Amino acid sequence: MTAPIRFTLNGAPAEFNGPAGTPLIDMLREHFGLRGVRLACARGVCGSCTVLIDGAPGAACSLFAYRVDGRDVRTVEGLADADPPSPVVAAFADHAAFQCGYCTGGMIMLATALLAHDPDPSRETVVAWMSSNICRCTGYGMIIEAVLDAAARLREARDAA
Amino acid sequence: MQFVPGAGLIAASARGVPPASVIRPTDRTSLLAALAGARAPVLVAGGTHLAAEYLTGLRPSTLVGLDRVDELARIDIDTAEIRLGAALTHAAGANDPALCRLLPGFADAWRSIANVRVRHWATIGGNLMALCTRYEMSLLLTALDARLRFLAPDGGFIERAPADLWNPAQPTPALLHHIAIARRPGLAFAYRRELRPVVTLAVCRDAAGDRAAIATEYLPPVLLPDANIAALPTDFADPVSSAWYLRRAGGVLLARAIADLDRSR
Ligand SMILES: Cc1cc2nc3c(=O)[nH]c(=O)nc-3n(C[C@H](O)[C@H](O)[C@H](O)COP(=O)(O)OP(=O)(O)OC[C@H]3O[C@@H](n4cnc5c(N)ncnc54)[C@H](O)[C@@H]3O)c2cc1C
Repeated sequence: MTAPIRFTLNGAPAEFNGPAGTPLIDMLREHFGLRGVRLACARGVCGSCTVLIDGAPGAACSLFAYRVDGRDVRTVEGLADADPPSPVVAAFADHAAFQCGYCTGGMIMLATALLAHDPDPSRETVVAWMSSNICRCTGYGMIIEAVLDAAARLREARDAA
Repeated sequence: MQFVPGAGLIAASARGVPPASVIRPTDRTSLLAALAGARAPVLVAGGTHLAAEYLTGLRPSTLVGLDRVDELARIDIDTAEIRLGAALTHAAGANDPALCRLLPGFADAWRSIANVRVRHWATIGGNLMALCTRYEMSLLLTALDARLRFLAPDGGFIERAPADLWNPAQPTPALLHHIAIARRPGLAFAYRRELRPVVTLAVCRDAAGDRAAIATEYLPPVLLPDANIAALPTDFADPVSSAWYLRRAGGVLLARAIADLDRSR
């Protein structure tokens, strides 16, 4: 028997009773059915499996399930299923910041982490962060516009509050 | 690669590998016990390199997580040394205010490693112990003349130079505990990685002079013999990129790093 892994998943308490050495991506996809966490390179390079753990972006393919014990985990479902959807999701949709869409979940999570870290990023900062995830359709132009627009929307919402 | 009915030919990955048992020590005593007790334990720091090792066949039966051993993630500074815990993440270490103040050139270089997603998890110890020539920490620490301190089974330390990691005749102890950088007058550091992975170059300056180390994607770092600074080229003059060009590139990087140090004086 292994001790259960208890954590918060997209805002709700979650428990995993499988082996602690399960890859995080398998736990999220197979056990919790979160298919927005996408496996591609399986070695932390491409970022399509990016999730936020206590707000920090991480590649779910390169982390073991035990690393989320006691932590807060967010996947793209937590943002996309919100009502209204997060401004980052809305900006990606409005800018059509995807082509095949495979990398989009990871891009949205990385952008969310960036805007939490730096609410008013320069284009240069956006490029530096977002270039750590790979878009194989090379649709980076729209992605960068979407992130800058999401920053503006978040700023407006903050100013209005 | 493996053939999976219904899915086709796919690359092997951590998926489908029987999960290993996990031990998560919380202090030095339980860490040493875990290392002594488990059969062929594999240490996990950030796990970012291990993920790649799974793809090339790593199948551990026991993983020993280092993430709960607080003393491995500390930065300790006294008048003699800066000690960097082996399980410090790149993000935590490179942004540490005291390190940034004492050795800004090294903090800048550390901050340039990998990408934001990796930096939150990957550690300085994992970078060194992965023994990967394209990883940069070994070069930076070679130039700094740092010491690697490994935990001995009796709780004491075994000391190695970064270069020893690459020496097959010198067995590497199991657990890297911390990295020590001696504080000395005039200590400064410059790093050039614009030609990475072809060539990277680090220079450490102190009262004894400049100490330069160079590395390539496929070769571990080497210390450069005393450079004749006045004779260094300052531009990359060869558009066809011959072997001569690469040798010259090393000289250009060295000249630029030294100019960085001169400017920061
Ligand atoms: C997408 C990507 C980009 C990268 N880019 C760069 C780059 O630009 N420059 C660069 O230098 N590096 C780069 N890296 C490497 C990265 O910086 C990590 O340092 C490296 O992946 C290993 O760190 P880790 O903590 O995850 O180690 P792990 O994967 O946990 O461990 C690596 C190895 O070290 C062993 N180990 C770990 N800690 C210890 C310890 N304390 N004592 C003894 N053995 C130990 C493990 O058992 C394992 O064999 C990159 C990695 C990725 C995935």
